[in-house]
Amino acid sequence: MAASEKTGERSTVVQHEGFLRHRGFRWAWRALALCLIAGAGYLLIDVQPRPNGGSVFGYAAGTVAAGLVLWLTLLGLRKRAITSGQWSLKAWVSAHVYLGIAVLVIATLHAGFQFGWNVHTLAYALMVLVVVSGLFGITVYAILPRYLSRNRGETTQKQMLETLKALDRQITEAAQPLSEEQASVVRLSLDESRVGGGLWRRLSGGRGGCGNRKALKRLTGLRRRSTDVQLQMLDRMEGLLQRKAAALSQVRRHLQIRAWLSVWLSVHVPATIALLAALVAHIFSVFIYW
Amino acid sequence: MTFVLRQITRRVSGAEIVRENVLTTEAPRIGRGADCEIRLPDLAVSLHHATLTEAGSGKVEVTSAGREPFGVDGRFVNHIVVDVAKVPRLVFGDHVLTLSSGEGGRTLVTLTLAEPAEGDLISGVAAGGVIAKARVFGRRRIAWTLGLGIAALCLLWPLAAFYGHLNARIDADQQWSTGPLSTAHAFLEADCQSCHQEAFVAVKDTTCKTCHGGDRTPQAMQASAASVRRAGSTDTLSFVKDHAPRQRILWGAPPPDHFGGQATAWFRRAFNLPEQRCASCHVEHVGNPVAGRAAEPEPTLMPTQTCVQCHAGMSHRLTDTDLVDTPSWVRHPNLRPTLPGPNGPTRVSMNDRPREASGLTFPHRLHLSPGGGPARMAQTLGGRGYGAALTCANCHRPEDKGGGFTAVQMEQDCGTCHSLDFATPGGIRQLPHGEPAKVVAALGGWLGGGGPFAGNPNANRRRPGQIGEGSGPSSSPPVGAASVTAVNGAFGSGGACFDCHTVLRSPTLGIQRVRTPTTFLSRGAFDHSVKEHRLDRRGQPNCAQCHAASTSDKSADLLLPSIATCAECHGQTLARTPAAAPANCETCHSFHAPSHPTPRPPRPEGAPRAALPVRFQTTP
Repeated sequence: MAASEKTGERSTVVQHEGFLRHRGFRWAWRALALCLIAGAGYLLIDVQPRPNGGSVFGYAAGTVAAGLVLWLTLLGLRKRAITSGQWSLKAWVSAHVYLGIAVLVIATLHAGFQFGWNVHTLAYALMVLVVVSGLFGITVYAILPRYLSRNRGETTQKQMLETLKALDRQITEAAQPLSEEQASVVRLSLDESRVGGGLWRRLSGGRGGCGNRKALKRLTGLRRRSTDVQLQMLDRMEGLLQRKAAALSQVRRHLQIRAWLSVWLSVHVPATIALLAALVAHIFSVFIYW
Repeated sequence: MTFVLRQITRRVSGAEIVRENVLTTEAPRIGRGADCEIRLPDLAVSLHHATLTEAGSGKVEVTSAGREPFGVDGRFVNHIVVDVAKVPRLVFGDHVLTLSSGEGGRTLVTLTLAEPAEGDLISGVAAGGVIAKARVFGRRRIAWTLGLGIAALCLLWPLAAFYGHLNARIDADQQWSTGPLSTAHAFLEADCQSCHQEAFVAVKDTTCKTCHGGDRTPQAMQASAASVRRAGSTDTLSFVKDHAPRQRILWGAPPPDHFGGQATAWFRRAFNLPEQRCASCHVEHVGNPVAGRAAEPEPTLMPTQTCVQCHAGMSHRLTDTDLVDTPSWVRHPNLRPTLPGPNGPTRVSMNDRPREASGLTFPHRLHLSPGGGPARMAQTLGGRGYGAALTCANCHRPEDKGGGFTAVQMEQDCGTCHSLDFATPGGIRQLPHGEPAKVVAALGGWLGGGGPFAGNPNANRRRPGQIGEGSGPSSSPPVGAASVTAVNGAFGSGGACFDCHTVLRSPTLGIQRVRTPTTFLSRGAFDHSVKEHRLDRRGQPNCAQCHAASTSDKSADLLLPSIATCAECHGQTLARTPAAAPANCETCHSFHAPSHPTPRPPRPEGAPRAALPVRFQTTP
């Protein structure tokens, strides 16, 4: 109702506020406060013989860290649930980021900088992996979208693929009069110009073994042995292949940026599940060998 | 033969459109070229790929125009004659030509496009425009693999080993260790269950005492020592006793008075971590080899309370204790030596000026006076360890091991001056010492007439210090007059026995029992072997600093110092005395054996005494 009452009023200009800046870095300050409290406890409580996870401070910090890890994991469920109210997903993600960084500090103080070849340090190492991969994710989220947008221009991914298909159709048609040798070169472009594929291929831009590029190279050789009529056809074909090369480059760049934007999740999510298992083993083993 | 080209295309709705075209030529050409009668718009097909010609009744000859072959029923050939009745399939690139017999002797050439296999891509892009993704690196697959793998390897596997379901060579539960054990316990590193015997139950004292219990028979302790040696221990197994029964320690310990202590106590109760266990103070798994720190030589000692914390106001918590509250070194009660009392041994404070009843009659001053007879005698004795006035060391011998003195033995420690030689008609004889009855018997035997115990087989079984019961010399004197005179001489005033001992005349002739304890302090100990305790700064014996023996005129003087004498050095600063020493409780009271000082590693002569950690020190 409040909205309807305001109808006709001049709307205030709302600037986009990302999850990192949410509400004036509210969760960053809270996470910092948590870290400072943990740090003060670590420095002020003289744990003998040396700081360790088995002291009262160690257990307190460990309990807080384990609770935070469980809550941070819940983002996977929260983002799938459409809710209304104060707990916006943006606030949740903001808290996820900053409290996730705080966990790194609190868990390190919980361990008292004591590490060994055991299940406890495994849990710690997995937590570090999760947090570091998350930090990487934040970094690419902050940097890459502008490159993605710049590369894409006004087109969508679907339009890019449609362009490729259209070019393939045109190339197929234009190649009909060509000789066997020339046609086989054109077929390289049609059959071996892969887009996407494995993780490393996506991350690296996937230009290796590009059929279109091979076809363009060989086309130069074919021109020497061609008649004038064939040369005309080959000129047209080269133009089409050049256009396809540009389209392929755009699609591959698009996919490369998207791969970098999502590859950290391939570490973050499985490492989180592994961390949960290691955390259960860590807590359970401490209490069973009490 | 007439060939009819039949093309079948499919509508989006799925319905088929069939177009038939009668070929005008007898030998239709197949190829991509515009001049071919059967045109296949497929770059895999040559411009003029092959030609169909009749080859007799119902047979067709297919011949490649160039070197490119074509497929026939799964084979690739350049020339073939096929039987139309068998409906052969000719494959050119993605196109299939099926030959069959039509009406009126015509040959039907049905052209279809080979069905693309599922997942075939055009330029690597699937038909729906979805980019192919790597399936090997699926997040869920990795997550499940890692999660279940870790749960199985780090939880279920060690758990199965703990409950004895596995008999593997690898100690699966070793990965649960939070840190290395001390060197002393390193041989148990692979055997977690030697200490962690029950799941979710903190290590119990009974487990520790299985090896370290000091209140067992020597045989049991030897068996424990042999057992740990067999298990690979290179350390000497230590045996200890309880400071007090655990329940009394729990009652005697004060409740924590600050928030941190209360939080710790609450935490320990909540998580079933009982206090005052062996493992409460002797902590394991606190090493950190990754940081390059060497393993601890023995379990790290982490006292949960200081001595003073419990012993200040303890009488209010343990109302039946005979221990005096000791809130600090300054308020340490005076020494309370244990002396014989009417109801058995009793601790009497030095404040009450206790008297000693040693049974000996001479005071220490008699021997230590530089101008007295004993001093003169020692001077004349010369080179047998004498030659000057007597000192403490002439009579009191330190123990070979430990910080005390051996009990004075008359023959050894007094005999040089106080000879037991006795002239008899048969020559010089040695009087027995310590058993008056034997003295009487010996004198009777040597001087004739036998003795009061002659022929009495039970004479040697009487208590020392008494001469018979109801049959003493007064009621049954020796038969021989010489022996009677000798006995009276020895036990009478001025006699050899009378010089040192209290002679009892009633009811029988005897000697008051001599009591020469090696220690008076039953709840603490003074270590005479400590250099500063036995020598002064010039290297001379400093016994007199604590024991006022040279001025003691009475044999009943108890020559122990007051606690104030200890405080002249202990608890002082170097500014006040060069002999300043710390005032640590455990200097005189070991936790596990309060009547002994805390054992310390041996140190070379002259080396500074190792200070114990600050946490042991009490506030002066």
